[in-house]
Amino acid sequence: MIVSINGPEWFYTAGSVMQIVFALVTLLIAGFSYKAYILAKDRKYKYFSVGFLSLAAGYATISLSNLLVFLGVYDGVISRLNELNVANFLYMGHIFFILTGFMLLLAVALKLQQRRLIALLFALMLMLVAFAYQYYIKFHMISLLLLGFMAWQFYENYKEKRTLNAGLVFSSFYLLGFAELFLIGMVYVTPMLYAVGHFLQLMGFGLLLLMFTRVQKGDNGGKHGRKKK
Amino acid sequence: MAERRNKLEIIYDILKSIQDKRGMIKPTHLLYKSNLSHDGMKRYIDELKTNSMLMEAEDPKSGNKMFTITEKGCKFLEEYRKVVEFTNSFGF
Repeated sequence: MIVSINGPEWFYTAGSVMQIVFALVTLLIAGFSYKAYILAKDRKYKYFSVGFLSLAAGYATISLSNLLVFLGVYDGVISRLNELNVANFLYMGHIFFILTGFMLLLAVALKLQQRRLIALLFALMLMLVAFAYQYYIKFHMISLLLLGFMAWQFYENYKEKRTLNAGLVFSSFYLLGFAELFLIGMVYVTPMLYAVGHFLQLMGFGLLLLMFTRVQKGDNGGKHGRKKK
Repeated sequence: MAERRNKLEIIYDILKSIQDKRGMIKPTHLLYKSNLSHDGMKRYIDELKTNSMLMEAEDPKSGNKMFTITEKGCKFLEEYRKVVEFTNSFGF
């Protein structure tokens, strides 16, 4: 049986609220990316938009899944068996959407052109999770890997551009990747780490939101830091 | 060697050249600033006129033909800058 709710009991509601915030932030960026696609007619924006939309769907489903379990446990509104099946289905949806989202963002960030290569990587990744015994850990390990590569790529971009917005993007993905370590560590150490991981994710998405608002205001912060010789 | 500009970048350069000249520019100046051939510029001007981003006008002083940027053109420049900044932030 799949257990779709994790972490300390006191964190159930806060965790669900945070996931709704993550869904809203990613939805906002997906919307802007789509607008950019309409303007530029460049497919990379479309993939970026679908990637963020997939993340939004992923966070919305996990939030709904957690709320279902939470309500079922405490109110007995839905029969427990039925409610867990729905919650499990939603949790599998969460894994699918999040991995799809990260994969698409990485493909755009690394400028991967070959669709067949992307499809192969995606299929391998899904099979690794779907047929895994410890699917929770496998899911977060793959997420850690994908976010790590994205953070690396965005750091390279920051070194080249030296703008505050590029720094915010890099820091955001670094925090999101770092959060995955805590989400994995929760299984081995203490459920408290689940909450710590979520707070780090909140900071990560907060930085992404800050970058987004700065872009909307037309502020790039100018070049800063040491220039390359 | 400089990278070849895409269509969107050329449109941006044309509209930006007009905006930098306080919203009104002579065709010869625009040809020079946009770095296009005469035929190339004509094609873009026609498209921008069709999309209501640019208009033809007459200089009140000299009576010469001028190009002016419309509000839609200014809005396009604003949105384009946001997209460029967004793209640069992620570096893709």
